[in-house]
Amino acid sequence: MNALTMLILSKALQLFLVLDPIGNTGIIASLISGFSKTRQRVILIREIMVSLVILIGAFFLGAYFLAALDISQSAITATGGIIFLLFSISLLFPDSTMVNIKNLDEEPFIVPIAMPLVVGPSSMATVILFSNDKNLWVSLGAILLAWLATGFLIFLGPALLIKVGKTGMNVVERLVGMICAMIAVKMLLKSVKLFLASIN
Amino acid sequence: MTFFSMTLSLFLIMNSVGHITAYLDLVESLNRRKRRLIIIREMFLALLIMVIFNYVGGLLLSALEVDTQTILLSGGLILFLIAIRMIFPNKKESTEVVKEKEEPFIFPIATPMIAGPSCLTTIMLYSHQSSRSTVILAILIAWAFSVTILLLAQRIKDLVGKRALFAVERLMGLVLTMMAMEMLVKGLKSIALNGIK
Repeated sequence: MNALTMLILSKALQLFLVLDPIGNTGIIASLISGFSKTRQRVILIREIMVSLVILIGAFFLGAYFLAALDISQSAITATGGIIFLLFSISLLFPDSTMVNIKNLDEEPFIVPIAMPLVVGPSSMATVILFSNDKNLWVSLGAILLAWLATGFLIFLGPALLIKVGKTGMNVVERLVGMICAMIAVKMLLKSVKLFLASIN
Repeated sequence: MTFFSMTLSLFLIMNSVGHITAYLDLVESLNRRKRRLIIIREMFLALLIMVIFNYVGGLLLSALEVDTQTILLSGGLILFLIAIRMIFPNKKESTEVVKEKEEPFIFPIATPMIAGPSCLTTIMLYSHQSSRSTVILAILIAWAFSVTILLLAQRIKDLVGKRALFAVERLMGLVLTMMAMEMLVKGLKSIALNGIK
């Protein structure tokens, strides 16, 4: 393997870990479990395609966009944390009227599956960091590779999970809600840390 | 943390006392023997989930790169939300539970009533801090008391009456809110002492 392939692979792996398709499987499954099987497939494929557009868009425009709006790294991370927190609340207490992300009448479109679940603030930040590199094709190749692997898992995972049925989904939702709360708190703490670092 | 306080905390978080009414609503249409069967089955399932989490929880935490601070804060937050809903019960929720006339299996008794998210977070926290065999023993003792309470649920209700039971459940909510606050305070303390990890 030459150095270039290695570079692409290591970058792709880095992005893949941040995209975290396995961690998202449960959440996505709970979001689409109310639809028919064919509809679920259509939703998943559409959301996976949209997530590629978001990744590429963030790669080319993200840095300019954030600079233009003057949004700091800590604000991006805090946004992710808050969204994840509200998300975990809606999973843990499905009947709560405060936050109702899981609206069964409406099909999820872009929000929340493509963004912020598949492509969250942290993966956007990673892609924006990629755009600082000189070699454009290496970064693009890495993004494409990581996206392919992620899309594959996102497409298969939720379908497998939904097979466990309604009782199973109810249990999975609580557990995923718990994990979501942890991720949310972790993101919020990280944003505070970034904020403290930026004022020192 | 002493073994006694660990066991007591687990027993309170399993919250069998606070779930007496909800449980009786769920099994209203079933006869006595069937009820006993359900309680025993569900409680063994809950025990299985808790024991699994005691062993696998550590792996999950390292996969998510989560440390004690984060567990304390998120666990405290979840427990706080659950406890607040016990103090200020949601009418809609209780009617919803009654509507489901199917026989309960795993959901909602085993999880989230007994081995719910806050209980599992607490178990992960304990198995992070002390040896797993100690935690298992604490789980077993707390679990045995919870089983006893749920088996006696109907008798307890007949004995103290509906209104007193409601009051006790709210009181449990208050105790759990305090425990949640303690978890949050501990998490903040760890941040103040060690900084954000």
